[in-house]
Amino acid sequence: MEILQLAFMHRALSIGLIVGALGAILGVFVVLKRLSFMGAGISHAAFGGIALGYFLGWDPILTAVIFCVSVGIGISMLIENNRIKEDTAVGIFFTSTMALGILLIGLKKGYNIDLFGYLFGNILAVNREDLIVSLVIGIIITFSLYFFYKELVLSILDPEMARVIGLPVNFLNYLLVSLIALFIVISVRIVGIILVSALLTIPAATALRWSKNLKKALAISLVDSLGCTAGGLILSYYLDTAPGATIVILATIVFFVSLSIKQQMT
Amino acid sequence: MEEPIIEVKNVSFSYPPLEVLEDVNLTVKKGEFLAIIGPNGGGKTTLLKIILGLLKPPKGEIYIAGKRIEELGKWRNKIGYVPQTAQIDYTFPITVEEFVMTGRFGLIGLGKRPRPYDWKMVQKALKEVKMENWSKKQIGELSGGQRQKILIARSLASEPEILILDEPTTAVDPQSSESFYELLLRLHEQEITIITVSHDVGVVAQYADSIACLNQRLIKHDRPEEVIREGVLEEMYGKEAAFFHHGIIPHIVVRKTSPER
Repeated sequence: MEILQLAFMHRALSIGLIVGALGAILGVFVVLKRLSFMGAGISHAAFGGIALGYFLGWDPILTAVIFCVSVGIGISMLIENNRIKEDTAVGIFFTSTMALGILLIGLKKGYNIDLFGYLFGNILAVNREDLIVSLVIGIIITFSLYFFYKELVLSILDPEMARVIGLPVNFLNYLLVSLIALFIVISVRIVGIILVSALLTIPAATALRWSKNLKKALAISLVDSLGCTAGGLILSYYLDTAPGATIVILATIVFFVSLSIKQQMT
Repeated sequence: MEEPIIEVKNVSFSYPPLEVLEDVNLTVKKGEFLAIIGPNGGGKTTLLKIILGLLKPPKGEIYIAGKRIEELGKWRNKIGYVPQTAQIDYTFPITVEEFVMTGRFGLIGLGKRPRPYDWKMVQKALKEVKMENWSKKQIGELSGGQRQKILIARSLASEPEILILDEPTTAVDPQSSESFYELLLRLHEQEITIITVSHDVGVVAQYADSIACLNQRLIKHDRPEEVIREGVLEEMYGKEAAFFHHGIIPHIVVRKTSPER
């Protein structure tokens, strides 16, 4: 295929597949723990983080990593300690961090930021450095999920039981939220802030319909996500559409088709 | 059989402004089968959570196997816990045997995977509750009674010395409930200490060694017959309680105006 000979397409596919794989795996935990909305909240916080980076003259991605992890843990702590409902807590951080971003960008007049690129993603503008950052963060996420696999499973399935046997349930919650934040920051380049939580939600939701056990769910989610990311990218090249949006729409179509097949089977 | 395995000393607990437990003292001997009964809001679940270490009382001490509960360490894994069935998300993609394995997670240790011996213990626990033929099913495919059984199997998988059950038969039909108590009796014969919370005074009076009546204050009766005797239940539940009699045994006790929590 001619598109595989283009260097930028190579990089786009590589980073797309890394992010697609990570979103698929992490997403299964996110959907099971009902953190999809949390994911959407943290992704909007990334906007505030990036703007803060620009405002302070720091590396925007690195600033966003720290900012998003803090916001994620902040939301979790607010829910735990003050008995605020999760959707309320997310709703507050979601909007206030975006507002902060808009405020800071406004203060830094005349500074040229690729705002559109962050909001909607620009996978074709990915450089070598982005690829390396994604790979490193990808290894951190994969290793954490592998190491704490059984502890995460029990803390999601039955948190009270997890506490009874002495698992560090709060730590595991913070860990999961931090991994979500890390994932979001690296995938903002691909699909953008607005669409990033789709990668965490849609393939996992598709897979969970078909799975009696977690390993099967992870495998289906992975295959679905890799297929949609690669397929969406290639389609977007030929259709001349926005790559991030094409990936998300393709994953959504797969979700609904699989849902209706499943319904007809039962 | 005589040494105490659980000692609760002068424990008070409140969800301000509500006083839930008032100076509770309770000693459970090794191998004893104790049922805790009492009205809703009487503090049954709170007491269990304190014994499990999930809640820390501002006043009083708890000793398990002679150790202060804060210093239990690895012994914690010898306490099996069976929560109310409703707490678990049965759509979770996990098979019966994997679910039962979660009972051994505390023993296996952080970051490690189950070994063949762990799977052997899981199969043994499933056999104990007669669910070995269901091990590959997803937990959502089970009936209410079967769900109850795998919760027990999970708590047995860690080879516990103490079994703590919170209203184990609430979501279960009467028939399964009966075979369930027979299962508890079998475990009782294996010298496992059992503490169960129940609404069903008549049923537990048939099976348990002793009954503790809890309504803020706790009174333990070492002979279950005492509880059924005239006066004891009325005293605990108050004059407005309604009793549904089953012969001479009051079968279900409900408070007409119960403060739900």
